[in-house]
Amino acid sequence: MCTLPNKTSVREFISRRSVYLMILPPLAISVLFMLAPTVSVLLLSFNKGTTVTFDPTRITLENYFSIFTRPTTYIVLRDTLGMSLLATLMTFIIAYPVAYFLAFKVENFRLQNVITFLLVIPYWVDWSIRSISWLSILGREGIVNYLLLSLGLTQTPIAELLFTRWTLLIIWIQTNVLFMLFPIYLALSRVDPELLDVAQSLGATPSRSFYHVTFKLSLPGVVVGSMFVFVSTIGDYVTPALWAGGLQMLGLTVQNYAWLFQWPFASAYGVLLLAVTMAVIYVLLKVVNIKQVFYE
Amino acid sequence: MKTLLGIYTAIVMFIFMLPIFLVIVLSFNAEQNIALPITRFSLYWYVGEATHSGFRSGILNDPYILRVISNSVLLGVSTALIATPLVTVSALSLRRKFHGRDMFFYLLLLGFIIPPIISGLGMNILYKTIGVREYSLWTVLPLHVVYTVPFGLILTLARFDPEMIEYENAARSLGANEIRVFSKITLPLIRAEVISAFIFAFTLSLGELLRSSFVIAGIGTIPTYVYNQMSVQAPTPKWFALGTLTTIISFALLMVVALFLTRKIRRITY
Repeated sequence: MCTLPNKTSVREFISRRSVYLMILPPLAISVLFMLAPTVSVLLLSFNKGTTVTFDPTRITLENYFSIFTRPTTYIVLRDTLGMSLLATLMTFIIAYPVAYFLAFKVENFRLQNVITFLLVIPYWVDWSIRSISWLSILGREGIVNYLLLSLGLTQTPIAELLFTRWTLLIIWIQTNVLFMLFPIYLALSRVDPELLDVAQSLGATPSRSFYHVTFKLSLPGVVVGSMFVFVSTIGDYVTPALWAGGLQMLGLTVQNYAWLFQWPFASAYGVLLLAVTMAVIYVLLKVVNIKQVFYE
Repeated sequence: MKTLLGIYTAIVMFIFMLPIFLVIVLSFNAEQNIALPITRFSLYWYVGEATHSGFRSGILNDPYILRVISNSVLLGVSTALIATPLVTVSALSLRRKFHGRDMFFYLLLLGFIIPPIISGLGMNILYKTIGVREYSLWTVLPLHVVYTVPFGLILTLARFDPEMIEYENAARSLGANEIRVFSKITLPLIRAEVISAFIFAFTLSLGELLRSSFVIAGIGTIPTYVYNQMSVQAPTPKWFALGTLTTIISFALLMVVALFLTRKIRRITY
């Protein structure tokens, strides 16, 4: 019997070591294909011209000087941040009640799964094909104009439904709503209903117990969802080009220079995009400690 | 309150599903345009037109489009097959305390924090630096794997049963070795998460365009193909037929995967 503690500690020692073996493959892949490309962008932004491989002997800050002395940079930055944050906020407002309904009001677990499955299906239609379908909704002969005309609300079809920044916003919300909904739903379904009973029996009004218990416990889901929507919109260079009617965005700028083979200049704009993204993510992670929910 | 929320959910889901619904319905439009109402239904965009030398111009007899579809599916399945074990291993190791755990977590999370255009651009620069000149379908694969892993990880971690460790310890104290513990206790408990990680990885890979377009060459995937075509061609129901077809293929494929994984894991367990 006295050998037992010893035995477990040996086993513990082995299993503690084995963690490092376990994390090796994901670690290697992340470093090679995530960290290394990002560092490549960072390094190349200090070169000039059309080179695509980093030359450490020709380091210059010229790209950054020219970026920050252009007034358009600030306009693009403002538009990009504004649109992304607005899309994130609106996706959150739209998705939260749905996630709440799924987690608390649909008691049938099977039905919950069916609804979440239904929500995944639209993602199998290719993204670009899905975005064309907005022509059939918002276009000159689209459903919305058809409804407006038949209701007599307008005499001629409204062309301004497409190719404005609102179109972009609608498409972004539609594309991203699932990625906001899902983390919130996961967080909400982990909320212990007994906590709500406790809050209520201690005299909290429903709105107070919602805010102090349910909402606060779902914040990690909100943060994860917001992170996703923000990142995928701020780095998007295709949807704005197709639907925003000439609105210049940061991702689009990066891509334009990349198309001209101005790799270092594109990289410098890329670093600006990365810095802005990281700053917003940092603030979000400051608000809520998400790792705590996931593994502590 | 409940009915109000229910109505709201129904409306949101309706708007959310509307584009896909239109894609499916309009793919059967016999005309060139992609607007309602449909005057004549046909399978023209799928099987094409009967000519002397057989059917033409439908997606099902366009060898190029069929290659595009099979490329996408192949890439999606490969991504999911690589990402799912990585997700499982990462999620299980994050339950233990070890040096650099937070670093590890945030590093994996980078896959979803770094804007897509940076990954694409960076991978392109990296490939050129290490001397990869020729791009193909497979040069995209690493990007898809690092992009899909964090999603699966968050999904899996969020749904872990907190009591799982106790079951595992119980098995260990009864003398089970680590492999037995994993196959008899851990894997059955996380079965649903493993399956959903697979489905998510496949779905995300299938729709990925922003990263891929920097490091892909050749026939490409459905998103890169449609994206390139969009600038040369006016939209016709042909794209919608393509979208409907991929939905059907994905659905069938994932059903098979879900069934197979369920069976397989059950066989290990019992």
